[in-house]
Amino acid sequence: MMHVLFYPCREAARLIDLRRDAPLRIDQRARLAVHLRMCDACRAFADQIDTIETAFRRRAAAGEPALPTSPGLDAAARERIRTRLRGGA
Amino acid sequence: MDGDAWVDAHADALFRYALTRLRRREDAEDAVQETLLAALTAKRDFRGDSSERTWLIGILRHKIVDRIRADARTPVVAESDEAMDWCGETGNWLHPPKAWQGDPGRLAEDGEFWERVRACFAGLPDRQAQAFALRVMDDLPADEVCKQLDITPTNLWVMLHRARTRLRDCLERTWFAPAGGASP
Ligand SMILES: [Zn+2]
Repeated sequence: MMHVLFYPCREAARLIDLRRDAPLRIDQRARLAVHLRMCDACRAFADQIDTIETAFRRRAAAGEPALPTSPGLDAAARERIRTRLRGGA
Repeated sequence: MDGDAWVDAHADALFRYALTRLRRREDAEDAVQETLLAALTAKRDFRGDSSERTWLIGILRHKIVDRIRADARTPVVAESDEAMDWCGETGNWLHPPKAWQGDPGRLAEDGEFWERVRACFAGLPDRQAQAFALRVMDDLPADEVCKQLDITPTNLWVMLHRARTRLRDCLERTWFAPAGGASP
């Protein structure tokens, strides 16, 4: 039966993510390989997750903060922290 | 180095690091203050074999994790599962992903792209964002993230899957294929 081999994309997408964080079992690997061969959408999904994570890693490797810098501390908070560090209340 | 000099040299960087992970300004401000106070007390432990900034970030990470754990103990409203709306009842794509154009190497340097990433990241539920920040931005091993967040691996996998699915969906809509937009 088709659906035995070709389980839903929901499960394929779950495994595509999961393999980044844990080794897949051998049957999971085999079923995912079959699914990816037959499904353009999940192949695109896998590439996109790769694209996102690669971008984050390169950003980190370049020593850039992962996300754009928000404005820093505001003046009031800065003053509050200074006071606390000087031993004030 | 004294407290004032630390505030000048490091407070903004510490604050941004904390804000990405804690997401509320007041929480991030408190974490910075706790970090610098702890650093002041522990000054003699600083050995100078790492940079001062690295040492402070290390302390800050502990303060952040303490806060996340404290948060996790207060009951939270169950996070809705709309991240999984992408598949219908059959479990297949409602809007099948199509290949993105462009080179990830270029994306990493594209400031506008990261603005979108930040906007998408801001839309994640807190716990998913924290898991994603530790696992992907800080590149910690999965078991280390579990330890820090005090959650099971299964829990972590579910959160990361939802976070990635949401980020992907958001970036596809707002960056890769904006309706009528002119982005690459
Ligand atoms: Zn599929």
